[in-house]
Amino acid sequence: MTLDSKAPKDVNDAKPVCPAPFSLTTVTHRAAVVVVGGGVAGSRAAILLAESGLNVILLEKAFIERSGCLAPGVNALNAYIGYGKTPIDYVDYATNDAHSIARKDLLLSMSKLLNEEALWLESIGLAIHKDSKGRYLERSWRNIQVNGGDLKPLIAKATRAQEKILVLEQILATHILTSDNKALGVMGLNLKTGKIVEALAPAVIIATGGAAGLYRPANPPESQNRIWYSPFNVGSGLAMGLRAGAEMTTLEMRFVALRVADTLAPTGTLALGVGASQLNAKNQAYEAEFGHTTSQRVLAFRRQIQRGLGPCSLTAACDPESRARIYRAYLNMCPSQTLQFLESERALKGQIPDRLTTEIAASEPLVQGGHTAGGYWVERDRRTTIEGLWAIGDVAGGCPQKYVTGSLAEANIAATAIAELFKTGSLKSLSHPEDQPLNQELDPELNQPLTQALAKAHQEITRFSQNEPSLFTAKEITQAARKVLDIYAGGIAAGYAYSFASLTAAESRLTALMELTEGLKADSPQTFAAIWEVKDRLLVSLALVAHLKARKETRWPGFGEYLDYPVLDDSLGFVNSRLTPKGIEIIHRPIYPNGLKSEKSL
Amino acid sequence: MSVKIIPDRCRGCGRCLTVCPGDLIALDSSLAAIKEPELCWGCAACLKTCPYEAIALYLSPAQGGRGLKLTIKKDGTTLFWKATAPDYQTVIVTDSAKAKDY
Repeated sequence: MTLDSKAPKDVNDAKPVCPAPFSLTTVTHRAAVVVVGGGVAGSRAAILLAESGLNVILLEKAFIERSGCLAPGVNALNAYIGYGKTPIDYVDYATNDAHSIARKDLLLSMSKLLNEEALWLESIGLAIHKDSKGRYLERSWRNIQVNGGDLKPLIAKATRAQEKILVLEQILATHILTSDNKALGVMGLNLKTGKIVEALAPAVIIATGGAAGLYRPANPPESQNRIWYSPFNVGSGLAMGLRAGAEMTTLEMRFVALRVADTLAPTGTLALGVGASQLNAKNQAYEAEFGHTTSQRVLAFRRQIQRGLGPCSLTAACDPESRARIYRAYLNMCPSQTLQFLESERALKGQIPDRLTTEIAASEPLVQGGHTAGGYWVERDRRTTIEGLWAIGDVAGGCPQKYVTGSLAEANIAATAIAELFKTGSLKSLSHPEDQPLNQELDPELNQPLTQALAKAHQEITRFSQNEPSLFTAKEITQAARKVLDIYAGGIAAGYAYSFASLTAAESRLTALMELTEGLKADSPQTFAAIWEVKDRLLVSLALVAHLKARKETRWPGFGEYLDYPVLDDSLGFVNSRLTPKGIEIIHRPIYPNGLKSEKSL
Repeated sequence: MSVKIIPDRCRGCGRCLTVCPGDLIALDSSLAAIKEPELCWGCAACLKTCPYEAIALYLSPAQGGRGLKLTIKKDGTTLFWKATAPDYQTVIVTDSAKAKDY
């Protein structure tokens, strides 16, 4: 395929006219690698790629100082190999916790780098607690204490120090540009200027995090975003990947978090920090009734409520010094929780009890690959099923229990693999737009497909401004979709249970809502963002429902119960999916002995 | 229902606008204003950035809130977290550079 002589010399000349509210100008950037998402994973990948001499474009929806799920900070690194333990121990722990639905090859490659990444965090200024011998202070064999209220600004500072990273903020990424299953770049919208942004590169890393806000949340509408995970992670990376044809895995392994009631604050700070244990309303300990995995512990809690033994609490004897330490620890990760403790103290008018106690609750289900294993189906170097596309952090599947250090480890793995491809000449960096016309440096065969992909993406963004004012808003459709999942796909209202019939109802209602989004009108970049995000959420929700339907067993009863299929079926393997013109197609992939993707992959 | 701007302390510097992960703050008549309070996550990024103690975090009634407000006074890496109500006041100090002060 060669360029038609009448074809534009540069893709910039081929822009369709964008009607208001979008700016008439498009900004095009070119580099070696585009990273989507400036959370810990994306920022770390960008830094490592820049250090290897590559130009990187980092696209971020907010500002990298406080974006992603670590915006509030963190008080522990939950993935660490403690003294006397090995990466294999971590692999076994995570596989067991996932009830065998995990990729040991991915887990092992991650586990080997966990401690190295903790050292990197310390090198950029993270204060890590140490014992008298100068060793990191362990909260458990896989968990160390940190003073991480400002972890994200530290990583942002290290990112901004790299001259080879172009940080573009307030960009809503909308499309992975592809041709023939090959990634060519990313398109997005600048939410402040309304300009469409094209970031072109032969390698793209998706690091957009998991999906929150699919289900109706635990708190009421006036504090609906007071959830545990970042509410601004709406699953865009998963939706972009689905639209581009990428294969996803294990979305049905929803994460239901056992958290402090009302604030949804993490409980590990109390459980590991002061040895707090769960007690039901009759002061009975119940945690280990079904076993020790995350799902089994959530189930034990839920059963107390169902048996009339709730509310349940986390309770520990606590001297004033430990209490002060816990208050500080929560300020470093979830300040609302310290405020909740102080409200209780205030109500007691200075009579501070010698026990620290707080009610616990289960969160709404989330889809993410950081605690559970839902996300892109990847190879060991974190490449996806699309050529030139990698996925890391909470958006990458098959590798649960990654937390902060695991996300950094995945960034390290992907960046190392990508740098090697440039070094060997398998990938060639694109130059700055002013230096050379794109069609002169791009593989001639890619010119026309790229022009087409860009035009299609432009049209998909701008079409919403041509709609007549619509009866409904994106917000109303978002709330409707949350209600659907809550009731028909095992949300809090349904006691986390679902059936084939209820999932079928969810599918048809979500499909109807998706059709409604086509009529929504964008009259500003912000209204466009609201429309696009509800479309992303609906697509991820549809994929999730298809996954739930296909896993015809109850594998993780704490996270969800398939009422038609209450028992285990080990023949199901991994449940994977792809978006095709006919809808979500389910693919079953076998789990080879030891949880491997293929028999020889470890 | 999460953070409130304290108008007589806000100077309209706009720093909070550049850290909110949800883009929920705008300048209104040259003072910061929370656009969609129900979308606030409570991450406190804005409190940590504000040099004027002009932003207060509080709990909604559904979260057990009874009116206590949390503000931050900053001194380098040291944060003085002040919880105040007409009948109550306490200060908790954290320092992100000191590991031993967990």
